[in-house]
Amino acid sequence: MGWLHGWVGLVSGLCLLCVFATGTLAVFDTEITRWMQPETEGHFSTHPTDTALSDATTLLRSQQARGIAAFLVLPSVRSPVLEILHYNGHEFVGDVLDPATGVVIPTRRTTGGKFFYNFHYTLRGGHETGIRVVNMLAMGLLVVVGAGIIIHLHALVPDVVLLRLSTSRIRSWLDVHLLAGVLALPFMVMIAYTGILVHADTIMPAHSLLHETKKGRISSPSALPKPPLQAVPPLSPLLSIAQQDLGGRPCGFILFGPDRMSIFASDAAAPYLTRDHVDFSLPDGHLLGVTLNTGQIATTMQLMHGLHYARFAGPGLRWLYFISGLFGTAVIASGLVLFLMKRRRKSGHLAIFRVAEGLTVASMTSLLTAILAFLWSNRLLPSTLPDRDGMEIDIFFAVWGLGALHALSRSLFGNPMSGWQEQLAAAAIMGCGLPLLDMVSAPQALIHDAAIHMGVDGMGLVAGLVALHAARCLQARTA
Amino acid sequence: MTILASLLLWVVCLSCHAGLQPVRYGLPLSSAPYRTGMWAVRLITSLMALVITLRDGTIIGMVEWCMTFSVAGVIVAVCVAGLRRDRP
Repeated sequence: MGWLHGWVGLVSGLCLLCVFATGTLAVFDTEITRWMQPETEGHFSTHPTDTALSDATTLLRSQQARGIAAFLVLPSVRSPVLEILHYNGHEFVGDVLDPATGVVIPTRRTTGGKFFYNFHYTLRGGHETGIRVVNMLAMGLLVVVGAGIIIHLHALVPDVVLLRLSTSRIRSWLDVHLLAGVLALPFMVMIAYTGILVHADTIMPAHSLLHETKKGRISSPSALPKPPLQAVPPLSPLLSIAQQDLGGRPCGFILFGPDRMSIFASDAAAPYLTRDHVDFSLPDGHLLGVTLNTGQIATTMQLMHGLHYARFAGPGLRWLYFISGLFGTAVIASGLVLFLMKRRRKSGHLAIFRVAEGLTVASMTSLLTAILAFLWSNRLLPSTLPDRDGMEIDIFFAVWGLGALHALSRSLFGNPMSGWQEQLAAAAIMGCGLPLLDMVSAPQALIHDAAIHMGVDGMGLVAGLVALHAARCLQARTA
Repeated sequence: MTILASLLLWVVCLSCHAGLQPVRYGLPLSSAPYRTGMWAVRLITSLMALVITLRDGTIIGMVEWCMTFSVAGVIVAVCVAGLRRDRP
């Protein structure tokens, strides 16, 4: 079991650390997007006016006429603006509208927190391969957790809050690993299990066959001409009817077809993430039907989706999800460090060990630096720069790649501690500097949207201080 | 409010859990009646936390209960580790 826990943990842990870290950030994806679009400050309302809805549908129809598969997202407590979004192959991006006036807010182009969300479940490896890899890793996590429980079974309950910081370093790291692992065990099992179920189809053999069939169907040219886009009637009365038919749940988004529209229930309405919707015909707005998925299997899957995505969570529970995600990240990170510490004396001279250490630095400190660089680039790149959303992502990967090269070179040339220290120092500077950067670059947003900005800036500052403390501890030990 | 109450109850519960195993956690030994009291408090506070969180609904309540347990565990662990380090 020790072998299984250690080696499967190392191989899957290097990637799972990135999946957990970005997943943790994705808990606040909407809030990060708002931080990254300070231009939206002062345009908040959860109740869009008739004018705004009318202007939004006009703009949406014009985009559809140009072949963009756009849809309308209604304002919510977390994102109190109207959005006309389309899928760009990775994220849902698009225009942001003032819910009071319907005017397009000239926001800077950014993928925002949605980048972390997409990276979390695809590793940016595409919708097929990436998801499959992440699902395999999640299964690896369940194996590692199971092996860990068996190893630690005798002391699982008595040692549940045991932390010995004054004993040997390896003992302290083991205690941190066990403490975070045992305390976050319910969360880790739940999030891994629900994560696998969300995309369970991708790891089934029939999926690739189905996908090929679908591709064949899509690629065959359609002989039928496209029907004309019908006019959209005023949305407010239809939203009221839809909310009533959806059992009082608020409406989340609207899909528009050429001659019909579907109003969907908000994901934030309940822990069950449904796709219940109400259909209306266009242009007259007659009710066509209500689709409620209430079967036992459907309900179970809705709950699995809901628990994993946590869109139902209010601010308090959302913070708990975030903190639990940090615990999960800490479990994996401390496990990787322990793996190296245990083998350093015996195998530290081996090239494979040095590569493993370099990769560990890359997935821990380089990733942190890359995340902070992503946030910094949002403020340093000119807001009118074309394709700046792509450039932000390029900067993220460039910093991460350079960090990985630096870590590997330091480790392979026998100086891994310098690699840790230098990267921690870089993360400390960028993390501690983030609030200052925000204060200088978006002072108005900091005042009008204080909670969001203080949250993101505060997390940057905490990350910076933790990195600084770790760098100083390492420096003291090597001195 | 529910989350804070549950967190507080879990902190009390896990503190008693540590207190019930003084040797393992490097804490001072306690008398038998005191231990019985701690055992009862550990049981009652965890159940009270469950009852309080379940008022938010079964699913949300269970999630809150488990997550506040995690956070409270870290708080207690850090405090107990600090106590142990401060002891002569």
